[in-house]
Amino acid sequence: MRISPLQVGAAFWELCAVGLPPGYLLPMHTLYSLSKVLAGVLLAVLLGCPLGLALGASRGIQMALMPLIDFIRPIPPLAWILLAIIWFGIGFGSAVFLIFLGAFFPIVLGTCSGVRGVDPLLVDAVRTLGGNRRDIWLKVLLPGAMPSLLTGIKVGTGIGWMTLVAAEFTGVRQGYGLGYMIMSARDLQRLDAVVAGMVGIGMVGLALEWMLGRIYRWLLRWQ
Amino acid sequence: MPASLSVYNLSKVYLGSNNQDPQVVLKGLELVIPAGTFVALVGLNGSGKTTLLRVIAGLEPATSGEVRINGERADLLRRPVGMVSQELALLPWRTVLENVELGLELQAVKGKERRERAMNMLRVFGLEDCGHRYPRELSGGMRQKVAIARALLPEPELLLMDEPFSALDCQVKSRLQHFLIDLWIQRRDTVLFVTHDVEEAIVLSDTVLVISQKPARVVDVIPVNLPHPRDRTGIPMTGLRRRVLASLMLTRPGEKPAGFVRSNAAGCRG
Repeated sequence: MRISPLQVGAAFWELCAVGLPPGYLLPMHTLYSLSKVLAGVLLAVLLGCPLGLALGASRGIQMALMPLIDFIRPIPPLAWILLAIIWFGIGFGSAVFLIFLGAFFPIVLGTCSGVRGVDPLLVDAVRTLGGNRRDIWLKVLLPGAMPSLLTGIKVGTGIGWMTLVAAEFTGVRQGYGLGYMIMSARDLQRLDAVVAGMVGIGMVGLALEWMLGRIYRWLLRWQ
Repeated sequence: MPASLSVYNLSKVYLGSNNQDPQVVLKGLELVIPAGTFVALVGLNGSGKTTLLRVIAGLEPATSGEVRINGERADLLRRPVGMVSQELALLPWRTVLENVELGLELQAVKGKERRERAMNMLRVFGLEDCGHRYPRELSGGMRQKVAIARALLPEPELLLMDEPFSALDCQVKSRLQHFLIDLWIQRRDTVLFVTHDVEEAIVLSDTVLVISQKPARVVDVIPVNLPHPRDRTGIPMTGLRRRVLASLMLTRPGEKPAGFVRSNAAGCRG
């Protein structure tokens, strides 16, 4: 079976105008998917950054937790689907969980290596000027870890977005979701719509990347 | 207010891990610096100079002995000291002004007063136009100036300098030496300036302390009774240099005097 860019373009237009299944339009699919990814990544940031900071600051915590992290990390999100459905039910919760799994580890590792990469000389400088532990965290370790932490978030967001199709394997309640749409198109043997959906995911990924890049350039303008 | 510094019977031992022997870096080191004097501490590389400064600054505990600032135990009541290190220790994500403000910020001085005092300090350093710049945008010499401004803004009792100019090229180095001494003449801080550059020590200080190789202790105290600005090539300077070098040489057993002097004299003549 062959497919031309023209057909993909036509399918893209059809997805926007008619929808698949009919009435379920591409922008809405995108919006629902985006909300899951943002929720998953946000969760990963909220849990991953503190964990990464703790791992980076303390050898003890690192020795205790790193084996566990390295054990869970290589398990692909796809393998978690059944457990995710059992734990979080069909729909939003389990999809967010799978995206979270994809985004969590790059954020943890990025933050951890960021903290460890901070020049101890900078910590000394703050200490000699009278800084306490809190000052060292807020004024040195956190901003010092920022470049690597932000890279972790960027990689995590990318992987989270990649996990999307797997995440929507868990089913969608409202009938919306880019991954869900691609699978519906597959069931209908609509290769053109599958590829159009892939193009859609790629475009949103590109837009996310671009936005994060802009934000980072501003946050890291000192570099 | 500049304070006096005294160090009594100070020792620092690093316990080696597992099979390594413990390393004695400082052993029974004593020194006294009266308030408002500029003292240079000269020792060969690896003699424990940096360790000594770190212990005085309270960054590391002493194994035994005492550090007293104005007669009070510095390890019991930690006081902020000014410290300028060899490498760049400015926070790269802060502008020059924000870096200079840091000490006052840590003392919870209010924003407006902080900013004003930092700007005044930058003016003293001729850096008033660089306040909004980031450290990476500055030359090495300017960065060290900012580091000195940052250390001095909270008016520390003690200014510790750990080879602050050793990474700079000759011209910049001698310019900063002159700047530092002009500043000191106005302010009369108590300064402990660590260097391995004999000429630098003599040009800047009231007294040169020579310390031995590990375990470090003070082996010679050489007063420099010359008015500022000092002529680097004058006869009194040459005599002092010879004396400091001779003391230093004694700290390195098994070294031929001539070779040692030559290798050192090849250094910078700003």
